Amino acid sequence: MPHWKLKHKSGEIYPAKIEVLKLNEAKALKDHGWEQPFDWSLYIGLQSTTPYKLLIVGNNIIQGAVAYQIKDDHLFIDLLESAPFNRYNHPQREFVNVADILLGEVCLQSFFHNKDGFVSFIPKSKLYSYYAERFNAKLGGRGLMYLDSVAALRLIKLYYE
Amino acid sequence: MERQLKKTFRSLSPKKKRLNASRTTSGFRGTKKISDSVMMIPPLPGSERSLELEMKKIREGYVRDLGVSDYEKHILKVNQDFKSFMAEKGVRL
Repeated sequence: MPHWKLKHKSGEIYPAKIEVLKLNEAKALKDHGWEQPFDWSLYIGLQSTTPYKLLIVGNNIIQGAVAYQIKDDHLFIDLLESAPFNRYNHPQREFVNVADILLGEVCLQSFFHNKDGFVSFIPKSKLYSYYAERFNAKLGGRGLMYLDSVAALRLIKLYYE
Repeated sequence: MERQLKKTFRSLSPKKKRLNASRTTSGFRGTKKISDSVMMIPPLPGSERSLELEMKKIREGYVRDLGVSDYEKHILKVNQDFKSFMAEKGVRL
């Protein structure tokens, strides 16, 4: 069974998987230092958007979460958040490619749903250049950024094994 | 009144507007700064349709640039690459 390659700051690679986020887990996130303004539990039970969590195989600690919607010709990411201990500026940061894997999973699902790998999202304002440089994301109108087929496949090949 | 509201709304920077919108979507009305763990934010309420149209336009742009036949060939090739990659991993589509 293929899995995602989660990279520890020490350079070690851990096998990781994506699963649907459950209500009790979503409610508990805020107690573990996740962003207060965003309530992941609001996505539970929605038909349009489904939230997912990133786990290391054999471990229940949530490393990051993503919620996305399946549109006519692409997948749209509604919210993407890494666990507080995986923030790039956290002094004891654990894993360095959480966002890459969460974004990669949405790209993978885009291919599975016959959307040709197209994925769109609205980045936090200061991260526009980060997405452009790291993922070759392109800028659309209305603050939108997107990954096309080639960028999506590249990301999958990089971290899916 | 309506004019006043429009004026007030216009006075917010795009960044502020997006921040307020994302908070509204998730039911939050506070003023706390969003931390660095959040990397993508929800869209403005009511803007989903226009974002969908924007993506449609973008994909149409690809077709226009490459031509219908070349674009289809390109997409077919990428999808085939994806399928062979998944087959190597033991996943049958």
